[in-house]
Amino acid sequence: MQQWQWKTGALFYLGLIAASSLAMEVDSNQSLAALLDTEVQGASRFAQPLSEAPSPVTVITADDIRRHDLRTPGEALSLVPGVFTSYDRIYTNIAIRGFGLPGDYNSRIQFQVDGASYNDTIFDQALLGPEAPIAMEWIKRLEFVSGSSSALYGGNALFGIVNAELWSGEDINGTRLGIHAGRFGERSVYALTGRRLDDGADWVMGISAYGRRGDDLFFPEFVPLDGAGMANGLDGEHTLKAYAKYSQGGWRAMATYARRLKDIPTAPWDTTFNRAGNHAEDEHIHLDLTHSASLSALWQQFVRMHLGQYTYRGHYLYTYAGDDYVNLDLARTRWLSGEYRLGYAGFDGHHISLGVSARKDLSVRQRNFIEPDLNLFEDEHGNRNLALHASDEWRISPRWIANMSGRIDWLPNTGSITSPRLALIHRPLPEMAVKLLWGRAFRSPNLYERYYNDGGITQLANPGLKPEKMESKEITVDYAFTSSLKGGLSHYRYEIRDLIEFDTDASNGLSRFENLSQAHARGWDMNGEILLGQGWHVRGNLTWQSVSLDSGPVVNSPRRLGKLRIDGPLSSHWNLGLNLQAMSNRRSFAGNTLSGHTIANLTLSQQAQGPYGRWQISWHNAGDKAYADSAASEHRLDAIPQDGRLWSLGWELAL
Amino acid sequence: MIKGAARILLLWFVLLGAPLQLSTSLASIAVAAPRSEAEVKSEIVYNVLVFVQWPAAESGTGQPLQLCLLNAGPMEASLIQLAGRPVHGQQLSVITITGSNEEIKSCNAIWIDSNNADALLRMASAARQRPLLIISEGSTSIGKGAMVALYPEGGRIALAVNNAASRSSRLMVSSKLLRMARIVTGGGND
Repeated sequence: MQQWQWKTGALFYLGLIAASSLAMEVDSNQSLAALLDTEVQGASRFAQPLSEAPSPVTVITADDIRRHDLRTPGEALSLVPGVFTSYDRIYTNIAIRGFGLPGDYNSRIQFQVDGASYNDTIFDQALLGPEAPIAMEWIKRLEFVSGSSSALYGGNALFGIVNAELWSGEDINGTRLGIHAGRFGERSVYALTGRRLDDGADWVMGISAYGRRGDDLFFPEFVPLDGAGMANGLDGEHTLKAYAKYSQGGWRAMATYARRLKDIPTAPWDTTFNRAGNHAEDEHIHLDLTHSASLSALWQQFVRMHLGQYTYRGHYLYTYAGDDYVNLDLARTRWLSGEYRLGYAGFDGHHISLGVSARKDLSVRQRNFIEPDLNLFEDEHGNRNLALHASDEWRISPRWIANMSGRIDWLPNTGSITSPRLALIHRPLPEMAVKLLWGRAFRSPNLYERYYNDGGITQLANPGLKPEKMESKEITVDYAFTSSLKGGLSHYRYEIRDLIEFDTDASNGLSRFENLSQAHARGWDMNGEILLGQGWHVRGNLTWQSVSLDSGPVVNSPRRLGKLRIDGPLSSHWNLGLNLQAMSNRRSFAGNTLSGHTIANLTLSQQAQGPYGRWQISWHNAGDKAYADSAASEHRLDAIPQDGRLWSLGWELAL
Repeated sequence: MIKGAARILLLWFVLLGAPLQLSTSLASIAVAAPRSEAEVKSEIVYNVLVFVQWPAAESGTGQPLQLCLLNAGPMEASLIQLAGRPVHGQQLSVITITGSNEEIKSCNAIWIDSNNADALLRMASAARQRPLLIISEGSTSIGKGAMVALYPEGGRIALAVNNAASRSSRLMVSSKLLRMARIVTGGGND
């Protein structure tokens, strides 16, 4: 080559190096934001790494969601020790530490989005499947805080809180598009766009749509009625969700919309089998406005106003003597809630928080009628509550932290309930953390349990229901053996009294919700985490859990739960994610045994966007294991068979 | 001629491609691996220095910015690693001091352990006489003389800035830094 070519080449090369070192300082803007967002692990007396939080916390990041192709909040929560989900082909139900009675409405956990409670005020439910009020692609991180948190968040937070922190414009800084295709005609598409502006304003918007044709399903229990026992093309599902958030200064405004339509193949409530016309629709609309400000160096203030609306429409087809009748179930509630919190950091070593929260139902309607207008039941009772809460995180010494919180809730018809919580965290060694936790929590009976009736034909109302009360105790020890090997062991005991259950009076065949029993749950949880070389990460846990109810045997409660998660780079471009979920036998609703099983989920995802976008392929239930979840009383079925191997292909582009 | 150009193009592509690939893969490793707390905090301190402006007379041409460490404890090792990094066109100098008034005169920024309330007060009064950026840990140190404080929140490190104190020490905190701080007292920049 000629001299001038070498010289130009060398100059260009040197220029590039100079430019990149300049870029290093200029790029600090990006890297500072990333640093402030980095999870920190350490055993310093100043840090509050996750292991020093007053309750066991499991964090599932957007990266985890991608590595394991977690399609719903329920799937993400299956990664949490002691948690599994059951699906009855209408809703996804969660079971925590052996507590997951079929027919429960996930009312014992609180579902939060950016800190705002999303449980509706009729059923108090956390929707965790495709019916969830948010889309997975909006989630930056999902936190599950286990244990009684009524001391901070009031009723519903009996077994824990799920908080989904959503992306801001700054995180997206551009546009993301994605498409998914999967088995049984599954198609989904999403777009997410956002930006942070120079004046500090931040906006983000997203829209997601999903559809699934579903499989033709065989139910042997229907053979005597129907002959073939096949529900053809009746497991379809469609969702549409939208998200927008704007923040400036200390203000933040967020809006979410989600609508889901699901065909019901299982003919519950003695509806007509294998006929189109049984479906459920859920719609969630939320508006949230918050403002945080520091009043001074020591005082911080936080205000929230939230408007929520939830609508459920059930469309049920009945056939008598050759004529079709449509029975419609409607539940709609609109509520307003507000919260004011003050934080004070003036006392050395203390971090104090005081707050007041209030919630009022603006309009409630529960209705069951036969088309066109034959009312069987209608009720418009609403609810309201007011609460005061206080908490203090006290760094007693470099090795001891105490976390004390308490809340008083005033509920109409019930009076006041106090929910205290104490946590003591001790670090005898830098590598070890010991936690002692004690708390009292409650769950108020929801409007459905109290007022729903079908005109006295089979179900009666019970307005006099009392709240469920729970006391929980837990001890946890976490130990970091080396910088790449961690382990933990915990033991818990939960006592619940006045547990609300659906009870049938044998003498007259009428049912209603009653404060029926006492429940005792206790167990051991063992977990380990290993960082192997080259970026491989292995996490495993085993839970021994035992629940007993003094009203009878416990349904859907396996004695042992095991999980194993392996992630790592298969090559310089592809990541592998393996997620194994195992459980021992469970009792079904009718008393049969649902056999234990291990389900493997395998995902291959690209580490970064290539020239053709970013690809991902996954197999849920890669082993094609046949298994079933328990049904509840409304089903003719005792067990609902679950899907076999599901492949899914995803493509994403970031602009 | 064409053959020659193709060879050059290939050579440039290889030469330019290699460091780019290396730096992006290093960057992705840096982001992906779990970070120790001291490492993250030191990186944040470096970024803070980049986003604060000292008055021109003080920094002078050719004078490296001096970061002094007082009782840094577990942070000392990682903060010393920042020496030599580019800050405002010069290389950063990092030294440990015992806290005497003589030593403070040569400091442009000081990292101080938050448990030492007396030293913090002394630094705060020194900062009123000459531009001195005081960085500490714990959100309460903001009320005791620190201008920038790093504190843990939700498993991550957050920043608190006392803009009034830094302004009275004739330091200009970039609005980019103020934006990223969780707590800012003393208002923004006019």
